[in-house]
Amino acid sequence: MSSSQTSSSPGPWDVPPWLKRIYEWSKVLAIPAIVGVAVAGYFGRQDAGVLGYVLGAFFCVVYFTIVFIRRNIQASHLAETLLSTSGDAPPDERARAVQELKRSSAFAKWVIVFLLVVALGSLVWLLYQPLSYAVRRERPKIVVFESIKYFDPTHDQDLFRESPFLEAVVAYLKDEGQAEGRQTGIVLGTTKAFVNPTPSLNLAISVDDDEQVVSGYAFRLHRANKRLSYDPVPVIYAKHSVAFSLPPCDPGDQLFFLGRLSLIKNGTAFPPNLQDNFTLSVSETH
Amino acid sequence: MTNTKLLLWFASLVSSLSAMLLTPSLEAQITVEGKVLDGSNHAVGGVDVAIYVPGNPSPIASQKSRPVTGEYHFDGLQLAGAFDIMYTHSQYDREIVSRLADQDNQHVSKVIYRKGQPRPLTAVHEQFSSARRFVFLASFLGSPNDRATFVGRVDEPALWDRLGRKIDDMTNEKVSEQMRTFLETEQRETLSFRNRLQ
Repeated sequence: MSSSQTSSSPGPWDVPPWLKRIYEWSKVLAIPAIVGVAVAGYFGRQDAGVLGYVLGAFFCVVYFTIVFIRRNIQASHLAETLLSTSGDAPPDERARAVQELKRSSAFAKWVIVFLLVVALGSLVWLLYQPLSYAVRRERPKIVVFESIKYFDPTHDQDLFRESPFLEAVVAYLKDEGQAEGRQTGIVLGTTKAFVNPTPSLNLAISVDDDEQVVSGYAFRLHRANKRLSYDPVPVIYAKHSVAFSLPPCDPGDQLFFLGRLSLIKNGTAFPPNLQDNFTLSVSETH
Repeated sequence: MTNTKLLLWFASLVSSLSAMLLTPSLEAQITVEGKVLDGSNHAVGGVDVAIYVPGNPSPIASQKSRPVTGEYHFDGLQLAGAFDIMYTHSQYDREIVSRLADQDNQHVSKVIYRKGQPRPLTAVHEQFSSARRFVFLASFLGSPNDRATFVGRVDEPALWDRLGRKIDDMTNEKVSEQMRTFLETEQRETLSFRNRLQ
């Protein structure tokens, strides 16, 4: 009775209904917000970002479902109490039960909409990458070097700073070349980035001159979460070429070649333009 | 008192010296030499030839095979047990000759094959054995740091991918069904060893 009077004529100290609703929602959203901030702080700097998003979405779904079920139980409990009371229940209790049931029903609609949106989003997110890969994947007809040059110890120090292990590879190739008793030059080459996803393919680097021998290592350059990784690529040697078996690549991936050009005859000059000297050819893997 | 101390010191010195002179040396000095050849029996220069005694992360000795002749020669090696020779080159598959006697001179000439080059079936089998021996040598090292040093020095991750190719693509010989089954079993087992390097 008193509650109906209060609602009909709100006093100056009564909290407005819209502020009450914000307060109610803030109670509901406080926990996911705190968890979200903690999780984002951790996963944001990790490669496992996707895992973080998945876990976050899963937590939201579970949380909202629990909130909904709890509210539903409360409303059902009220209705059950009302219906099990012998005789007529007081009007204010009936009104409270009906209001609770209405609120529960309204909340249920929002939860269903939310769950549908999450389910649809998950489905799109789940299917987007595989579908995009399946549609866009193709074997490039030609692959060209974006840059290929002789290693210069003074100008290429940045490369060693970024990827220190390359210094050991260069030293190893140099030592080996000197021990072979041939004139050798260390070559650094990077292909242009793949535009589309690619299947596994063989990429062969060859030289036309019989007096030149090319050898070395290749790596797939892959960028993920602002980090660059060098994935070693298996090598197969033929007489005048070296072929690399590239695994399936993502758009933006490149092949990085770190090799040695050896001249069989001492006294001959190194080719000045490596772009013209090296030929890149693509073939399918066996 | 002083004389007694002096006498004791002198006696211990004499006994130590006589023990050193009379005890025969357990580690003989030996020579290890040989040649590195490719699949066409041409000499290969520049190959890193390293002597490993299991339990040591670094080679006891190493040198590059000579240009033109492909020869190598280690003199005066004192080894504390049977040893392995590991052959490494950027163009060729790593090979290991294992369990050579440490008390006698050795002449070991080795055929190595270019990475991915089809080879006789016996060489395919040896490729698997070498990979497994490599994992064994790494596992034999007690400390994780030593293992990391050893693996970091000579392992080539791409080698394991090459070991996983079809047997028919790895050899230049006709493969009987029996031999294919045998080598595929060896291959599976060898590839399963890779995880032990991590």
